[in-house]
Amino acid sequence: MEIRRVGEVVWEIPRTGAMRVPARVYASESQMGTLRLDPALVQLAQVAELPGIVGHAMAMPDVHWGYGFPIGGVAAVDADDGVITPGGIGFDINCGVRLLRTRLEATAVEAVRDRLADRLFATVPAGVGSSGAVRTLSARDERRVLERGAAWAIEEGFGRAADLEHCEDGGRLRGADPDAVSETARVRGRSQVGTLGSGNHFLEVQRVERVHDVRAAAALGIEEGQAAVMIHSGSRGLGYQVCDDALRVMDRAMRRHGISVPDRQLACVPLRAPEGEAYLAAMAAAANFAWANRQVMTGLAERAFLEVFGVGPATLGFGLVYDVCHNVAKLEEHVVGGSPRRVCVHRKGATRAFGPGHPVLPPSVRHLGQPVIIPGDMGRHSFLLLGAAGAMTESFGTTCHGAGRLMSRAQAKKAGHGVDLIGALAERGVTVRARSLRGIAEEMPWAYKDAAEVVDVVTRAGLATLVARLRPVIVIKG
Amino acid sequence: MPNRQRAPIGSRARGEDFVQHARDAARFVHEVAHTADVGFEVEAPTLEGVFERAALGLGRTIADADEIAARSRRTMTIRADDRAALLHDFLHALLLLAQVEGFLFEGVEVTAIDEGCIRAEVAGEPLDPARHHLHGEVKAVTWHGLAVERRGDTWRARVILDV
Repeated sequence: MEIRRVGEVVWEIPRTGAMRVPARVYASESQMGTLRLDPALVQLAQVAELPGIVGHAMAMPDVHWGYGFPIGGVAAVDADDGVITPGGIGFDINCGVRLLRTRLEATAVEAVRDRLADRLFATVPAGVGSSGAVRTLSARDERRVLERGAAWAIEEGFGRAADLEHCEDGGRLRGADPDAVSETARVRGRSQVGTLGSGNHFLEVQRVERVHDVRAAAALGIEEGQAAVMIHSGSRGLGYQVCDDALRVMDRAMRRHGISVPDRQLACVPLRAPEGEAYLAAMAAAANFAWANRQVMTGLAERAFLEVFGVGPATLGFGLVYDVCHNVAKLEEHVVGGSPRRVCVHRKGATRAFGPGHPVLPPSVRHLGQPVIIPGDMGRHSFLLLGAAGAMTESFGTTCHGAGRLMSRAQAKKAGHGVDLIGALAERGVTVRARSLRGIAEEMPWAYKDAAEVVDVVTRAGLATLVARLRPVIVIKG
Repeated sequence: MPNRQRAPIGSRARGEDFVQHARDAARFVHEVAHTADVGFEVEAPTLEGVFERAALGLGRTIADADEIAARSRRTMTIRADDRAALLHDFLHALLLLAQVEGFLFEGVEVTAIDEGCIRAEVAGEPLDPARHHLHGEVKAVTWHGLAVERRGDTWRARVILDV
């Protein structure tokens, strides 16, 4: 595969074969050295074959081998002529991350780290098939979750109304239709609102270790030495099933629409076809489920803090800095070839990063650019960024989403064989509570790229600017 | 659809290499290194066998097979458009059996199969959190690289799970 360097940290795969557009990869020279051998770039070239794709198929520096789309892949398709592919969004629809500020010093958290870790672990359900954070949803509540997203959870007493302004799309994707969600999907999600799940999902208490942009950090209520909370989770079983259902439908419908794809996981239909519209309505409902999920966990985490510190909500000062989605497709307007164009941007393991002044951003952050939260692995740093003007001209308002895996789960387990994993993390100052030791082994820092290197590339590429670096103190995992 | 004679799971005489219990799956489920997810390949001399072994590959990803007893049986019939879709839908049905119904399976037997339909029985028991150890959550059976093919006398299947 031919790969040309077209910028300091930008590489291009020229259009060949069935590719409709060239592909672009954001990576440092050393990252590209490893990536050249990664199936992720073959997957990226396949994404460039999607009907209606415009600009470039893109890979962020955390790109790695996925299923269908590479993880860290971005594709914008024309809103009128393009296709929608559930594989470009993923099974965990609106998997995302939120960052919460507190008024506590990190030292205060560190002083009670075991007690707080125990309390959080007992309060926020985690692990395989975790359930029971809230009562099993009634049919009426289920519809409201799917239609209203985070707002439903706030009405139920989890978090506060001000949180909504600090979620992408106000914590509610429009066009959601609960009736487009199958009964199987509903059953899979019914008891899972407010649960973390397993795999790479986590709840962390973090220390704001370094502020790089004092003005922006102050505007976001962030300062060095402060305790913060980061939550990474998605739409749980409901979202997985929505994706599965849609792939099944599209696999059959593609033939009718005269579309063929190189990987069945890329099954797609025209956005304007009935199957495409039905999926968008179901995807939006699943996205709303994910927002409700993260919002409920916000409320649960706040309760655990209130209990351990014995203070009132005003003293604790729990508040949402921002909530981002990194597995979703959205209809947006972007400039393509010098003209404004309505496109559907698929972000599979990539984060929206609208630059300063973008009209969809809430007034409180519009002058800054969209806050972007990049979780690192559980032993190293996470980052708070802002979307930059370069993202609007170069990457459909998109940046990276995390560290990106380096090792397979089997390799990670092998590397951790015989190692005291909990002790190794304690040496890094991290207190862990988890349901599964095997899960911890798969998620150890050595299994991931360093998020700092990923963030370095997107800031050098002008897709985002760095605001703050955070270090984990407590990690809650499934 | 060709039918196989029904017999208790594990009791029917077969070749020495034919194992249909999850506890023995390590012998015939070969992990495929995948950066983000879990992949495996299985081989068997028959189409029934390759579906059974793929099912057990999924089973050992879901839970620790040694802890599951074959206390009761479930029967399932799945139809699909082609062989790969049939494998996908079969494994997906087994995933839902575990995740939605809380039924962990230890043994599987395909009683009838053709290009577009499979009938199978699985043996296992309801999930008991006190006794059963679940591994990481399997989100889905993906279509990426999904294959069921015959090479000479051997059937092979390849599956990548989103975890």
